[in-house]
Amino acid sequence: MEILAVRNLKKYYGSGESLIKAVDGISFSVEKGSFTAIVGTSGSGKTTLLNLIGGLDYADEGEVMIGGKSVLKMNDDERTVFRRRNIGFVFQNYNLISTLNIYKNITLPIRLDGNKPDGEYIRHICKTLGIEEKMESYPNQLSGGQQQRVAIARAIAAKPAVLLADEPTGNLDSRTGAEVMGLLKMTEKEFNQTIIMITHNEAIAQLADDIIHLEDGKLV
Amino acid sequence: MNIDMSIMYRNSNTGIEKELAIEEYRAHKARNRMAVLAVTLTTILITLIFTVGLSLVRTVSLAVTAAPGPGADGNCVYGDEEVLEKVRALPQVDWAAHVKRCSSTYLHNREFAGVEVRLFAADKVHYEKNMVDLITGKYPEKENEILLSDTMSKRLGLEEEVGISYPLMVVVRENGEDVEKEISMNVCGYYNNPLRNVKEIYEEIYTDESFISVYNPELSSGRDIIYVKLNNLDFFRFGHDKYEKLEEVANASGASSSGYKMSDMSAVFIIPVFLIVFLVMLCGYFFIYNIFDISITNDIRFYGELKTIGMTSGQLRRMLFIQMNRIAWKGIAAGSLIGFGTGKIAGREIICSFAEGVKGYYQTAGVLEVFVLGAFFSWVTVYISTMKPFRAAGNISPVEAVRYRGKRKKGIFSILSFSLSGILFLAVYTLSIGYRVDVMRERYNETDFRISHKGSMWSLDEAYQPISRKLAEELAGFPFAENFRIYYQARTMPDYVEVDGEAAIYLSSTGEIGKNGEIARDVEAYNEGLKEEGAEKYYYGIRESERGNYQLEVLGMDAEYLTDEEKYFKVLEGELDEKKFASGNYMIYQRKQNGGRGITGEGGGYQVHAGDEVEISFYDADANRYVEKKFTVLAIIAEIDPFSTSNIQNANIILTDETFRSIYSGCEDYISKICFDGNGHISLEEEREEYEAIQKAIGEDGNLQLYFQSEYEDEMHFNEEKRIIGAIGMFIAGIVGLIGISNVMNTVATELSARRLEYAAMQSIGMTKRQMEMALFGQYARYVFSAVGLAAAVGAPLTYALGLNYQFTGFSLPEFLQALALLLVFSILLCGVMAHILTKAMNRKSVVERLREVA
Repeated sequence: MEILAVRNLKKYYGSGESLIKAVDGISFSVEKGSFTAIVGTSGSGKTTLLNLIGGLDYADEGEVMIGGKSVLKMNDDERTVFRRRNIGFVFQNYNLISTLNIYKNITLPIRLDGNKPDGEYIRHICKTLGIEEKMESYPNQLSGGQQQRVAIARAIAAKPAVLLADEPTGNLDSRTGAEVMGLLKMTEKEFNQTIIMITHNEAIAQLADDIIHLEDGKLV
Repeated sequence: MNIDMSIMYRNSNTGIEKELAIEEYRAHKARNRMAVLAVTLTTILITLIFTVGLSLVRTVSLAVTAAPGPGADGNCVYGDEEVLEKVRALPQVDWAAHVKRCSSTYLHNREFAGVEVRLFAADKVHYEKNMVDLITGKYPEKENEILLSDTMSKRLGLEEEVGISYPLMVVVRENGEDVEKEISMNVCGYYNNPLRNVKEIYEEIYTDESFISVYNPELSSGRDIIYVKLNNLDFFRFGHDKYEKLEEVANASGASSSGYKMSDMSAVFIIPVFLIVFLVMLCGYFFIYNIFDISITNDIRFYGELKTIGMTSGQLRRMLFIQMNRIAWKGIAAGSLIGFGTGKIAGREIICSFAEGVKGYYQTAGVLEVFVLGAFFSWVTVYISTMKPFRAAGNISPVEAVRYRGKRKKGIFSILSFSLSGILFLAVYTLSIGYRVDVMRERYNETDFRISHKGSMWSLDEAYQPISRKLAEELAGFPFAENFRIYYQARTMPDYVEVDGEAAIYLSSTGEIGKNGEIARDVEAYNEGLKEEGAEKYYYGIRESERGNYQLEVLGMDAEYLTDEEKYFKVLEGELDEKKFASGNYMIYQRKQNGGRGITGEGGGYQVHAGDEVEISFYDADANRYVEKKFTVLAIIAEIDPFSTSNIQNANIILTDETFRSIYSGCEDYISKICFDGNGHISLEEEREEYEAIQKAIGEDGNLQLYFQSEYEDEMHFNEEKRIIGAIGMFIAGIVGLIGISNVMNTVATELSARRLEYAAMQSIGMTKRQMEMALFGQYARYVFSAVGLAAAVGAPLTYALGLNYQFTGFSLPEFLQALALLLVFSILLCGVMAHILTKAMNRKSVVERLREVA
């Protein structure tokens, strides 16, 4: 089943001679429960593409459909709420909230939605990701790898339709990076999670089910 | 190979501190802007407080206690032109103004009844230095020209019309006698009365000095007034050394005597000025501390790295100090200029707009003193504020720096800072809005109206003229008069002392008692006690008359009045039993007091006590006889009335009026006070009518030695006082509030800035703008409402304590709750507005842009 469809997506910066086509007419689709890697060199447009898919940025043209809903047609608040419920983000810099403990970091999207977290499910996620002992800790008390696990847990806690990971291993050493990749794969299998990951690392990309190559804003 | 270990440990990094300081300074534009703003604001406030405060001290001190010769602070010597020249030549004299008497005593116009109006010829120095500023017309140049005050014009209904003719009843000297003469004068101008606070009891009219040679050539010049501005008073003695300094001038110039204003209230005002400055410093401290603490926390890894590569703690601190100094002087320079400029305008506006009575006395604080004081206190504030953060930066190790999370103190300081302004606001609002004019009226007036004979309180310029029984009956006959009372005070003739061969000064009313008996022994012991305290130089003991009797104040009153008078006295021994007192067999005794200066005259080995049987020989001057009386001492009392409301005041021997009449054959001439109430205060208009009816009766009676007080007049005065307290207090609370608010805003804004990535991340995972605004509101609310809670907890007892001061009318709960409610409402609005503004500011950049900033 198709969970994500991107059609003729375009994002340009500047104009005239200084026009930059960050995303230039990209179309593709992703099946539910799959792990897709978007690969490209620095400046290829992969982060911009991810931001457009996640509704963090506005496209100049085109469409992004997630679960049959057009993300780019929503207004800012609608997009935010949609993102909260349907999209999970994992960032290169983890972007955990330093003043919240791990449990609160993980349950933040749920609580932002005014819902009560499913304690058992959260515990299950944490156990799966190997961070169940760290619930009361704070981000600055964890290693990079542990923080990224927390980020993954947060991203999937609300059972989103899609998990978007922006260079999730970028700040990690190779061994830890491999661990995180392993966790993402496990997440895909364990929770039937659709994952779209961007990376510049071909080797990491090989772990995904599908690979999309990007160059100068276009699919190659 | 030998390694020179000394070289290894020699610190060769000196000089690099300045270089690093400049680089770091340039890298912290936002912090610098905020810090300079904080220092500027603090300096503005400190300079403003000093400017307004020192101006206020000088202005109000002069105004409240203004005496004739206000420019010279009331200091004067008496003498003629020869003395004047000598005085002017003295190095300790800044300037000297000459004022010549033109009438032997005050003017005898009936319409001046109740007011002592003097006719003078003054030199230009007096007009200029003693604030006799022309409003319209000109200064007198001819013998028949007079210059009147604006308050006199209002009193007489002249509407400041120049050129009109006005007759004066002058007392001239003819063949060695004082003779009343009507002289028609021409009003040549009007001046702004610098003594308007005493306009109800004293006025000055000026004419040209040629008046004396034309109309009063026999008048001696020995008692002409020379106002003296001294330049050698010790500031920290607050005017208490003026007596000695004036004596020096009098002795050096051959002046006959000296005079000065008894009280000086500079200390009353100058202390609060410094207290407020310290308050502002405290607020500034919180603000500046916060800024640097946040900055240090943000850069702590950098400082850890510096230490890693070899920078010592001292070098680190010096590097920070150099930056602090740059920031401090920028802020101080800007703040001083703005603060002084604002203070000059604001000070004048506040003081002169809200207090007509002090307008004429307005004096700006000196530029140099304000700038020096402002800069000094501001720099000290900055220095103290940065000590701890700099020490923290210097002492941190590289390992600790990586994990450093900072302390929560910045939040606490914001709370303290905001709560300070909250406390001030609560206190000022409660005490000013809750200021009860009716309470103040009651405090200063036992009855609605009181007519006193001046001779019962002060010395007189001319022969004693008793309060007539006719006037007393007329006043008692008013339909609105209630609770009518008469007090008597013994007076012994002859009652004057001679100066320059004239019977110049008529002493205040005293009775005489013979040197036999227990009271006389008590008097002797009192005088001995003064000597033991070393106080006889400044505080006179009980005097002896020419007859060798002791001069005491003897008062007679109806026993019924005792209950009302009781509240103004402390009963040291015995009790004030009205029935016993009414029998006539008892007397009440009060030892002489010296204005609360702590001079008791105790000692000397003997004192009269309550319950003692005493025998007194009263001297009845009218019948030239001694009247022996025996009493039991009912009580020993001491006045505790700071407001001079009591009718007993300084009386030493208090008897019933019947007993008084049995002693003094001339008692009908010794009415000292008439007091009564009006018809319950229905409206101010009706009060005014009662007041004017009484004034008219006094005027028609023609006795110029009467002093009329009323609650009606006090109403006007206290209403003005309420406005002053409110205006000045709210002004201060407002400016201190600025610091508190700025501190809270800065703290939250800085926290937000430091967490902008987090907020971007939260928005990326689904936090809406509204949720962000609510989160910020919650953050602000935590600080602000904690501060309000603290302000209420501390503000309530503080306001209560302040309310006990006699300047105020006590703590009023409804007004306090009103103030608290206003504070809460304001706080909620502040939180809401700031949360909204910050959310908007944050979202000017998209989530993606903000996420990219750090990436």
